[in-house]
Amino acid sequence: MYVLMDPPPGDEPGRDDDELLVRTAMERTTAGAPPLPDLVTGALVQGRRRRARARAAIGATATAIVGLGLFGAALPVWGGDGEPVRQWSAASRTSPVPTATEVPVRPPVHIEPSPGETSMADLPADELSRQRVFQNEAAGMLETLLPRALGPVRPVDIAVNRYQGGADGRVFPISFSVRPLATGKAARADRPCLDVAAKGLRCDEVSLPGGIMAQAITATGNADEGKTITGATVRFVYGHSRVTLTVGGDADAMVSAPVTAEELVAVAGDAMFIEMVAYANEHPMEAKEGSVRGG
Amino acid sequence: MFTGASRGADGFEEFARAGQHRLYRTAYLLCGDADAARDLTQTTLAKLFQHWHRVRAADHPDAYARTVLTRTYIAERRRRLRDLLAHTPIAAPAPAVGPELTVTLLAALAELPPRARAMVVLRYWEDLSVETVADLLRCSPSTVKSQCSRSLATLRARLGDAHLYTARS
Repeated sequence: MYVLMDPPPGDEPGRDDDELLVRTAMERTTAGAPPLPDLVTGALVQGRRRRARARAAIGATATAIVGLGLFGAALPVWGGDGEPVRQWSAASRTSPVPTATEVPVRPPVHIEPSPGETSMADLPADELSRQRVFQNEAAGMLETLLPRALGPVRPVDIAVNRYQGGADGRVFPISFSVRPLATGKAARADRPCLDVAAKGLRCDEVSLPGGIMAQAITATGNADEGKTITGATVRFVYGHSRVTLTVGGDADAMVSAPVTAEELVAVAGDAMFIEMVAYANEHPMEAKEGSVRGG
Repeated sequence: MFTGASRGADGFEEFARAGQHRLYRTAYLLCGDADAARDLTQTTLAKLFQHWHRVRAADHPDAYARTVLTRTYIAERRRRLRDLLAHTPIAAPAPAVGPELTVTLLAALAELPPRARAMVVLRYWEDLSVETVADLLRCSPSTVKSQCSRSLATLRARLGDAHLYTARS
């Protein structure tokens, strides 16, 4: 094996030397890593728990479907250009998934669930189909309304409220959530709109069309080596749901979200956005606040 | 590396036992410390067990395991971004203590964004092709090339001094 202190081989260009240097350093580093105890037994225990949680989540969601009466509702549908392409619902049809000729299907981004986290893949088939239709159409709506730098917007398959935008290697996480408010003892007071300069947090109370009061939030934080990125959020209560639209920065590339909180307020005030919110308010996609998703 | 020999009706334990050390070494380069690398490796093995029927049916179970490991690492880093947006400051993990070159490599890797770090580890440690890395990380080959090129320059700048130091000692 070539060792670091040896002269580099022959006439290789400098880039090859760099690669060799890194490869050699990696070999030395991993060879010097602390010894590994056997992880298989622990992995089996953890894996069995994951299986059990997935089964439990499926059972709980099936119960929720019966309670909510999920079928037969009208869902507004938009095409890629932002105009309504049909007035009736994919969810109301015998086949719940629209064909590619009716609504552009956006392939979801796959994210592997972490320990304790459930995924849309764990949902029963009918509920999965319902959420995928909504998510696909919400992604189209978001792509139409958000700045072009965030396009294309794609659903993320781990949860109905997760999306991802950006091109050319940029990945901006987007969350669009319409979550039923908790009731009774689980209900919580709205968080006050506070500026916290030390944490790079700015919050403004704004008014949306129809007199809906919203909070527009910009959050800046340190992520790596003192560099900072910024994300933006708008949130408000609509009907009996809490609506949150958040766009985060690309943490890998250390690039801030290409949208301001003010621009998110404009998105939230758009009729297309409100129509989608109204649908999700009437036909909830997410668990009520205060309940634990996935276990 | 894993082989297809363990693909029996219930070959998970043999599969995991044969592959855990390789996964751990990759995780060590990704995470930069042994505790986090052990957690990442165990989580990866647990996920493989959860979906063992899929892993067993895969053409290349070792590649499947590597993909789960890498994506779990990146997903974990993304969760940290969500914490950031929830107004929780995040501190970078301290590199492990060890010989000079090891410390320098881990510190230099820690300067890279998570995806760039994963690209470097997959390309130069796992020795995967540009196309395979691009496929695994769902980006274009040109992105892998440009990121690796930039990352190499960063690592070279940091490792160069350690190289001289090691060579003199």
